[in-house]
Amino acid sequence: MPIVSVRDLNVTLEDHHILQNLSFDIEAGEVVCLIGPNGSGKTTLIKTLLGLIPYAGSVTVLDGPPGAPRGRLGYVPQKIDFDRTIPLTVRDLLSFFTERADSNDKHYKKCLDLVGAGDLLDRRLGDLSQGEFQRVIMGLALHRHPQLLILDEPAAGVDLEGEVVFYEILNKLKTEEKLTVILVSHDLSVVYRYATQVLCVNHALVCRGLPQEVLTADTLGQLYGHGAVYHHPERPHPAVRL
Amino acid sequence: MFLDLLVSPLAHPFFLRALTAGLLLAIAASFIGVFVVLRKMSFFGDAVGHFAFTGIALGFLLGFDPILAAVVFSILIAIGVGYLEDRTTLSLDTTIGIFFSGAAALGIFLIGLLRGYRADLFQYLFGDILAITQQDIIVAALLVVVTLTTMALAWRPLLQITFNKDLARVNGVKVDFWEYAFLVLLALVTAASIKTVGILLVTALLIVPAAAAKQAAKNIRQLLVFTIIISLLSVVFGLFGSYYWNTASGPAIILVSLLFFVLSLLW
Repeated sequence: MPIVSVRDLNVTLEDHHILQNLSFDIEAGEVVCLIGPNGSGKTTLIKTLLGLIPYAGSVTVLDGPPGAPRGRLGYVPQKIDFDRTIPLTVRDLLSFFTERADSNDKHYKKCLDLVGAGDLLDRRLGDLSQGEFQRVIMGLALHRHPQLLILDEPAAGVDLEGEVVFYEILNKLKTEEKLTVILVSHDLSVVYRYATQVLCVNHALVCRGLPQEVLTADTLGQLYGHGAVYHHPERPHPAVRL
Repeated sequence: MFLDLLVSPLAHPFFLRALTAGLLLAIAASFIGVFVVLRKMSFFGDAVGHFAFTGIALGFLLGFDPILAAVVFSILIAIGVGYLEDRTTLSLDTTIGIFFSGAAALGIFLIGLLRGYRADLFQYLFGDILAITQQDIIVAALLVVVTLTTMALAWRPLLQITFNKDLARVNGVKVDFWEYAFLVLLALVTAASIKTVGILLVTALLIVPAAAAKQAAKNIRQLLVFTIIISLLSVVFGLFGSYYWNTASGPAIILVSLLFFVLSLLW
């Protein structure tokens, strides 16, 4: 039974066809990377799975419709346009996002420890670096022990070192917490290293499969335009971006 | 001597009524003000004051209680602004600007239709502690009960929405419901505060104490507590100042809160 099942998905926003006839399944334990050029509909697909925008077609997420899954889901958005002058600590943030029964330092610390951010509990959000901020948001996404974690370019704006740490944490969590992960990334070295399935989105589903099969000159040309080449690196970092 | 200065105004029932109503409204306004400042809704708060002004003019013209008319009119227009923002491509500040100028123009037009000079209308512009009745105190007390009850339920959802709407939705928050509930509460508190501080200054009561508290607070709890303290002290010092200098209560209250804001900048 797939954790996510999508059939003939179409999304039209303000008369623009953003997504057309997408069909795919995601099985438990997979790390699925969505790749595609800017404006290709990756974030729209993520938001559809989360139940944040209207769609046509059949979509099931954790045995329920988008927005009302029957399992636990965590989400790390692309970019949080947060006013850094607001006097909000990491503890504050976790306290109003968690259930009252879990509103205690022990629970907050446990979530933050998963992402190596246990020492940030008393810090003001506005004082955190981008890398620390993203780890806190990831800790927040993990507070309900999700079965499915959806991340939309989680390392955008994070420096290279922070990015490496972030994906190592994600990989560890995937193994230890038995997470299924859907990840939007422009970083093909990340995709190559961590993905069990790649979905190439450019309004339609251009390609789908293992990264070794998908990240070829042909498919990348189809997706990003001819001339786009990905050299499989010996070392996955520094990041190769298209 | 100092005690005399403190006690003598309290001997007047009108002053006691104003102080009681003012303190109650300060508590309600603090909860709303925190979110007005955090969600950058100051312009909206100002606009609601103008919606209330039109409501008061309508009340006078049609023979209804002006404050009740202000409450109903403000709520309807506030919901209208929220609705249009959701369903058009216009930005919130443009939508507010349209309603804001429209409401002010309609209010002035309606006042023009009233026969004769209406001195009582001006009490709503600047606030008049002499005009506060026992009934206003009951309304203010009810407002505090409604605000505290709503906030007990809305505090966490509204903070989630303030942080990020998508995350709030994924976390199960009914974003639209709580946003409209907040607009209604904002309209209620604004309209109810008009008699004490006046239309022209009602937004300042919502914004200035919370803005001052934001400068000094280290976390969200401190922000709320500091806002309440500054609001209460502004009402107390403002009303005493208004009594001794024989000025309108609204400007006196706001000037004291501005003093707190200046002090907060030095924090």
